[in-house]
Amino acid sequence: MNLFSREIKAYRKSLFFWSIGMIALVGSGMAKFATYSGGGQSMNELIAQFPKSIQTIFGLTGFDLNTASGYFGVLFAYIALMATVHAVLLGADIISKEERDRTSEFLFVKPISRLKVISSKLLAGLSNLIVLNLVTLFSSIYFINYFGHGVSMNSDVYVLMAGLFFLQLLFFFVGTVMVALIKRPKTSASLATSVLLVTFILTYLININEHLDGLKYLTPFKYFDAKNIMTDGTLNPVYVVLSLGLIVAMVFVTYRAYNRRDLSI
Amino acid sequence: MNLGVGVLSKEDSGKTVDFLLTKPVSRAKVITSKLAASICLLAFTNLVFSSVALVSAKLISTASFSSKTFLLVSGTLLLVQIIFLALGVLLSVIIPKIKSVIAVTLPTVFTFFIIGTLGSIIGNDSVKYISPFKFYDFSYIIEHNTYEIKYLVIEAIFVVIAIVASYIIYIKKDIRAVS
Repeated sequence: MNLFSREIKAYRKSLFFWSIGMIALVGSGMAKFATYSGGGQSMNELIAQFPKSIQTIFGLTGFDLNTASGYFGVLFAYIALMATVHAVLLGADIISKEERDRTSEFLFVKPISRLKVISSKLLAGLSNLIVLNLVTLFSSIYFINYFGHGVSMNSDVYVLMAGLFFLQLLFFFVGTVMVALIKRPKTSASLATSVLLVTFILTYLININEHLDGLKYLTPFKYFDAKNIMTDGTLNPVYVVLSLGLIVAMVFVTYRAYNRRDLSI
Repeated sequence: MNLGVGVLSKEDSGKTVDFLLTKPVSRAKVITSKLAASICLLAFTNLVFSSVALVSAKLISTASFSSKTFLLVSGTLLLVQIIFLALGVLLSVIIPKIKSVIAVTLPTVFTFFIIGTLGSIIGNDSVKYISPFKFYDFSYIIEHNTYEIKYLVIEAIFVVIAIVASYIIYIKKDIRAVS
């Protein structure tokens, strides 16, 4: 598994910075909660002053922002954004790296099948995703307990992080699929991020306009929506099955497409 | 921002930097031309966006509104784009080897975006100085029919410093020849 350890080493620095960024996001987010809820002024009153459309844009409706769990639900949207950006870039980069850096000729004449190469790379990518997820999990639990006046919502956090992991997986494989299908690495990376951006904007549009509710199957952010997860206390099984199906399909396409296509040297 | 980061670093990643820099054109002129081209591109997209938005708004809107104010608001897009362009160019000369432009652009832009939105949810005023997305407050523009001067000044100062620094760094920088 030499390839696996090489990939891990290559992404060490990047993973480190992303983890720091994530910790900073969760930390500063919860710190703001502490300063604000301690200030005596009810945040709910403040938010209620915003017009309804602005509230839905920020995903603020339906959350009691005075509680740590409600506030974290809003913060989760941004945590998810960071994590999915990381996942998509990782997925696109890890496969297209070879063609972008012109090392594919070197790598693929080695006595290792393309299948094995992809598997090692995907495993390395998955390990990165798991690490980021755990960093988010631990920093969330730590900061919520530190700033949240001892509110116990650990079980909610666990479920949210599980949902986050599915989101990461989904977008990671969107990245790999794009690269596996398209020859030019730059185009594929941009395409993958466009998918992310479009689904993200779609989430906001659906929030604003209730008529578009049927479109929620098109955007993964809606599958693992913080509000629903925290009210239910668990992930919605329909969405979990849907995500698993998508992930399996994308893994299959990644392998097949990359195996078959001509690699540009 | 993609434009800003890509315009200089793609010479390096596309291995054309040798060819370009051995021509009898000074490095400063190279940067100037690239910047001018990028600004033209941004201005053009902004023009298209503003005109389409203005026309659709006039067609759809039931109440009358001032076109000037509308154009001012859509003009904030260009102003924000220029900040990110300058930031991108600066980053591209500072970071030695950029393998993937989008891996630099996307996290940066999203970070500023998140800082901006989280800050405005909290009502924290200092984010207005940090995140370019929040420099131009729409309600102020609509009320006063003009931009807030201090933010224009901040933007101008930042853009000037970033561009000048990029020039200086790029002119003095050692650039690796294509092997």
